[in-house]
Amino acid sequence: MSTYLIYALGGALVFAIGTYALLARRHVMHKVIGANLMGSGTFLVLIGMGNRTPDGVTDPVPQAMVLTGIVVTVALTALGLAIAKRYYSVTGLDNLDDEPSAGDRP
Amino acid sequence: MAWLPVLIPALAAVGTFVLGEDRARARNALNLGAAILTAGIVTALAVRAYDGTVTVSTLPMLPGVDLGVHGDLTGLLFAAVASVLWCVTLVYAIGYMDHARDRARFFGFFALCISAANGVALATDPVSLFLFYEVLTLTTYPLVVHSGTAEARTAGRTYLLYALGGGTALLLGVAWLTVIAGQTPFTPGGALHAVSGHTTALRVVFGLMAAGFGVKAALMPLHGWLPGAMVAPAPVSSLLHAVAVVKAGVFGMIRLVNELYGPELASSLGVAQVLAALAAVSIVTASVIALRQDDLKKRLAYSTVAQLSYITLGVALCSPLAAAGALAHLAHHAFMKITMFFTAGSLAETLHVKKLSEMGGVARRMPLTMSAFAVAAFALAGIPPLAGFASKWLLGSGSVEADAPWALLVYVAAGALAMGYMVPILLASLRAGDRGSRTGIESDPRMLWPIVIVGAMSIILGLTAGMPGSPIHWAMTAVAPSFGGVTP
Amino acid sequence: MTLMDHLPALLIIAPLAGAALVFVTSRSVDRAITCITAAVITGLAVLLVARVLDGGALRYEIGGWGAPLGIDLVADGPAALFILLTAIVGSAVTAYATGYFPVTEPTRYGHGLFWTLWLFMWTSLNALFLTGDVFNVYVCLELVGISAVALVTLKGDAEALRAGGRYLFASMLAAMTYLLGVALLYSAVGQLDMEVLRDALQQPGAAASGAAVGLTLMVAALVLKTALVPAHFWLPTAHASAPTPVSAALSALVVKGSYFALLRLMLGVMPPGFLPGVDVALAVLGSIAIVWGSVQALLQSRIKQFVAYSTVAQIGYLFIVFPLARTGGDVLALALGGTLLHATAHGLAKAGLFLGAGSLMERFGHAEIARMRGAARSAPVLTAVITLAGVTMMGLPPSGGFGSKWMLISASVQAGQWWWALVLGLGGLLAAAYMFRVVAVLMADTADDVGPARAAVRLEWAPLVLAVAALFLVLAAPLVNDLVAISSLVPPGVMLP
Repeated sequence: MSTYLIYALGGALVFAIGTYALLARRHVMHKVIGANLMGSGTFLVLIGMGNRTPDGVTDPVPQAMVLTGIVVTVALTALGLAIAKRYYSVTGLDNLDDEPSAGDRP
Repeated sequence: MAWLPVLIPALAAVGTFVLGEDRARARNALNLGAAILTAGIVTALAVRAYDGTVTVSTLPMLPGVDLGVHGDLTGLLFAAVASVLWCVTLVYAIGYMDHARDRARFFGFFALCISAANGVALATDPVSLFLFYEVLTLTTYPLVVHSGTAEARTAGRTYLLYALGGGTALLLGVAWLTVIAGQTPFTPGGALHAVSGHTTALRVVFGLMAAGFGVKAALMPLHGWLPGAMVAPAPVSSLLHAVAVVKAGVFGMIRLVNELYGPELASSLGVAQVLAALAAVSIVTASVIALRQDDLKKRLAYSTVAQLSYITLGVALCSPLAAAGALAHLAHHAFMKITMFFTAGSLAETLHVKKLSEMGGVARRMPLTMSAFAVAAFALAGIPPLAGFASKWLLGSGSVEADAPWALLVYVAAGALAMGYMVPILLASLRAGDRGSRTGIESDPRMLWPIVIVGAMSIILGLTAGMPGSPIHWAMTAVAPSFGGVTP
Repeated sequence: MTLMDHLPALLIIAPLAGAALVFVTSRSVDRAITCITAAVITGLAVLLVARVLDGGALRYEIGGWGAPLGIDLVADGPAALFILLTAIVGSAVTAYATGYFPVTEPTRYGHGLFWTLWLFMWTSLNALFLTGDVFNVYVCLELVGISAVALVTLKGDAEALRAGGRYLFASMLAAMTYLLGVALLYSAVGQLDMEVLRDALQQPGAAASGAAVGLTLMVAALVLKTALVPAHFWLPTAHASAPTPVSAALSALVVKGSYFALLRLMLGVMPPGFLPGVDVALAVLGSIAIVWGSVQALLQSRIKQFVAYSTVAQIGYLFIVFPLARTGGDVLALALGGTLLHATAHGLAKAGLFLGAGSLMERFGHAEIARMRGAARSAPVLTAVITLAGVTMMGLPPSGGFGSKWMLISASVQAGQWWWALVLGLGGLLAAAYMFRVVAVLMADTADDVGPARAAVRLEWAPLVLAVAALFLVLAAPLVNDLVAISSLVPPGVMLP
């Protein structure tokens, strides 16, 4: 069993857990964490891929992708947290499920 | 040059919208000027077409498809009817809508409808025709729902349901045809000889296109929208539902049979015969229904359904005389029916009379109006020497020529039925009644004189039937190339 | 290198510079900077279209590195078309926004941030249309997503925050799925540039590798981003609860961004049948979207929700192209041209419809369609906007919607797949049903003659210009077809005529 396969399977597992949390959990924080887990799973797959080159030289492209991906995920997470905080302070709710009667402002 | 009859009314419409609600004089001048100009240009095109010069103009649009208009005699006859009657109707409408609201919207869409109708008339090919045909549907809708009442909106919904359903059938038919044969310009005698092997596809396409045209032509059972759409203001009912919109439907039938499939192909495929049978049933049924209507506009509407099917039947017979008669009847019926709708509008607007049972004394109150109505009614029933007689004579001779005596029988029976549903209106107006006691006679002169003029046209067109430039002569010249000549 | 060769980069730099300037300068010049930037982008977009028509597709190597090591921008015909569409719609939205966000109430709708975010979203959209690299697509999609979510939540009330939150989580799900797909694709093929991938995937055995799994994940993620039924759940609330200019930009442009990436993957990268059944499945989902979205639009009582569901329906048309594309030749050219014309027409008309609907809400002070009776008299221009944009939605002539419907129907019949033609016909009728339901109310008679106060002129004319442009767009069909011919969106092994 190659190192890459361990990384890949582990990454897939983490990704699956994250997906489940994002889809099934109602709490906003759970969703944010779930999305982060999905990202981490993907990064594991990518990192493991780096040393799969036949000549043993590490391929830099997947690492560059991970680096970019982390930046993007941080930005998404920050935005998610900001919305969650504001939403909580406006409504006192911790989930996005309810359909309170909506305002008609344009 | 061939674009002008489409462009001028459209520009007049834009001008009308920009002028807005309050500048009535400028609006009236603009519309009347545009109408007279359009009629003049159509006449000029017709003179050239009589000399054998067909003006064509195309514009690239979609891949393999151009948008084109041309000034051929068949199309120009329809365009001429629409443009001339636009002038007359404008005068009437200015009087009729004198104190109404939303007049800018009314006159703007009115002009747009004429633009679209002229486009239908002059389109060079099925795709261009479809384009204008759908624009006509859209621009009529605001006129149907003009009053904004619940009844009007219901009628508008019904109208759209039928018209857009028919439009979709037409779109599928035209698109399929274009895939089979490419863009095929209308050609006298038919344009599909090269692909006549695709019999099944051609039959289906004919069915789809005939269904599309049949909706506006009010071919039963697709006529359901027409009686309801009569809630529109009288000038709309007059011009659009007796002239432009419904005539666009039958005109489509004429193009479809004579100049797209060609009489030979249409009858060898068997599709013309089916169309003829449907039209015959439609004539008789609608006439019988018309007999029982108390509401004046409804009675006229069912009469329209019957008269339109005269034209469809004439085309479907695939004989030169019947085809000429159909085309001529398109013009004659327009003048006769518009007289009647104007009258109905005057009665409703001036005397608030909408039903036959309320018409007592009307003839004494409005002698000129009712005389014009009587002339048109007798013309419609085919009394010689009025206009309706000339075209019906051609239709009848065409039935004999096509070896279809049953069609002659239908025409004769329908003429008798027409007397049956027209004479009671005249009798009702002659009855004594309180309507005669009101002060004043006739209606607003702007409503009276258009009625007198179009009523007189029923006589003039009948008397001049043999002369060059009359609808009969025009129609015979126009259909001759489809059959290689017409001998009366 | 002349200026013309740098156009792809300039189209990204210009809005980015504008966004940065707006952010650092005083609030009083926000509008002026945004308007100038919009004008500059529009000029550049016109130049790009002219350049592409004249000299073929442009390939721009950022920093001179070049694929496979660097990231390339590809300005082909369709990309130029979308850039131009974005410029036109974006300019109208900008003009509208200057009237919509009141100068006197700087805090209303939190619009202090609008101008920066809006230019930033424009930057990301242009980048997304131009990118020729599957990983860069991910980055651009996220940049679009982040700015779009922030714009949705601008108002800061519960409804906007909830809609934005849902939109964000849908975005995150799509983003992570897409990135995993890219990872698997890279592990199988070792390439990220679309053109290099295109050649690599034609090698025998490519389909058996992890590439197919990766591409499936990527397609699924893009479908979620494009809000194809059944992944449309986030769209109506997000588009409806945003401030009106944002709604227009989201519906008209943002969904087109992810769709364009999907188009490039499905047609420009994968050989026909690489993912068996996916093309038909997408078209079937598109057909369901047409019906489902239309029925939902018919049932909505609030006007922006109504417009948003119409977007759900109209997106469906964009997916009919996939099963037709593999036929190649005329059918491919027709289907692709029809689809791009639809995207353009829908972009213009939908932006007009949203802006018009927003102005109607401003005018009436509420969003209930049923209570907007008589608008034809008190707000004739806005009624005209709704009606004219509706003509495009219905696909009736002479609108661009008609042109696209005509081309797609012709392509379906030519390909022998006539059932799509029936779907397109039915879609037009359903659109007529939902549009005229609203138009009939606007044209209804009402005793109350005194219309509410007049709105700013820009709130009426900006949408009218868009709706009229969409109405006569069929005349632009030759241009669209010329641009389609300069396309990398042709499946490998399949030819345009």
